[in-house]
This record gives sequence, structure tokens and C-alpha cells, in this order.
Amino acid sequence: MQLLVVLTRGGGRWGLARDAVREVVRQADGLAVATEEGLVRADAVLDVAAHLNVRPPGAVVARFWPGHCLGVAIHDGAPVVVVSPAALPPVLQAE
Amino acid sequence: MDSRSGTGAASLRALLVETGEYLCALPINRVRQVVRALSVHPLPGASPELLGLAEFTGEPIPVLDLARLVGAPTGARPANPVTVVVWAGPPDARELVGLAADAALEIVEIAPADVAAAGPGLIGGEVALGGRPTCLLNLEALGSS
Repeated sequence: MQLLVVLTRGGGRWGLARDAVREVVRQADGLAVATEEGLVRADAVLDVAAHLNVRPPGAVVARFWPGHCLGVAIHDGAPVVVVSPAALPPVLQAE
Repeated sequence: MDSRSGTGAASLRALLVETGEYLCALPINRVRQVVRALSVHPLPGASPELLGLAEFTGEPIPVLDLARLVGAPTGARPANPVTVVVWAGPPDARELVGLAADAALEIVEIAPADVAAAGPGLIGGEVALGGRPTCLLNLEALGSS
């Protein structure tokens, strides 16, 4: 089990390691999650302390999604893609 | 290809699936379940073949657009009303994957002599079933690049 912050962005649900998150800041166009690596953009934060069973993403996700995925999990019935603040997909990157 | 993958010398039992204007035959020993279309959560930036992720029996699985995978023209029911959950990848690293399709039709027996081999990729062969060309899928190749 991993302790994650779960957020939504671009129609997807994303997870960040709880230990990597410093604070959540409201901005004019949404939220920004502050991490040691910089800001992560979010539409909403669903959970700040979700204990989730994270498993490897598998070869199919790796083949068809160019982002760096640390794992996948289920949060409240919906899939979560766990990412590193140091290697964010474009949809999560602050401009 | 060996008999465990459903493509050996003995006849192959396969689930016949309609997607776009194509028929696809999925080795039955690779089919986990056919369900009504799973609710798919998109993965921004993914290739068009990857519709997103879905929850299946409490686990996240990728869902692929079968028509796009095989290059099938759009058919009469492009909404993909069913998801065929299959085991993809090699036996020692298999994973569950959803294939969004138009319909699961029937289970058929395919004689190896009737199959025209197509190559090492996802479409492992072609066969005519009921007068319609049918792609015989090699799901072992699905996870490889």
C-alpha cells in the first residue's frame, strides 16, 4: 500500500506520493500542488491521504502512453495513474 | 506459436469479435470475460489505440480500441458497446487488457490449414469465416513494441 495524494486533471485521475507534496495552492485557473520538484497542476484534489494498492503499469500502458508511470491503482472505483513530480506528463506540468 | 497460445497444430478455438468492418478471432484461452463497455477514464497524451484505463474486478486495466489496433474501418456501431477482457503478453508476463469492440459473436473452431500467416505482430494470421475475412489475433504480441 502507498500513501498518495489523488487529483484530477485533463479528465484523468493522478496520484502523487504523499511525502512529495508540501501544500495545495488555489490559483485562478485551478489548483497547484507544490512539491519538492515544482508545481503540479490539478483541477481538483480528491484525497490527500489515500492508502492505495499500487501495481506496475504493465507493458500495454508503457507501449501506448509515452509518459513515465510509476504504477496504477484504483481510488473510489476509478483508475489512478501514479506519477513522479520529477517526470510529469504535459497535462500536469505548470506553465 | 505453441498450442498454449491457441495457435498450434490442433484446431484453434477462438472467440469471434466484430469491430468496425472487421472480424477478429481471439484465442479462447486468452479471453477472461466479455462485459458491457467498461467505463473508461482517458489517459491524456496516449496513442489513439489506448482509450484509457478502467476498473475491472477491483483492478485498473488498460482499454484498447480494437478497431484502431487492427486498422478496421468504422462500422455501423462505433460506440464499442462491449469490452472483451483478455490476457495479453507472453505467458510469463501476461496482463489483463480490455479490448473495446462492437460485439462478441460466437466461439468458432479454426483449422490451422485455413490460416494464412501474417507475421509476428498482433495480427498473427488471416482466415475466411462465413465468407468474411477475419484477423486471427496474436495477443502474446500485444504488449511488445
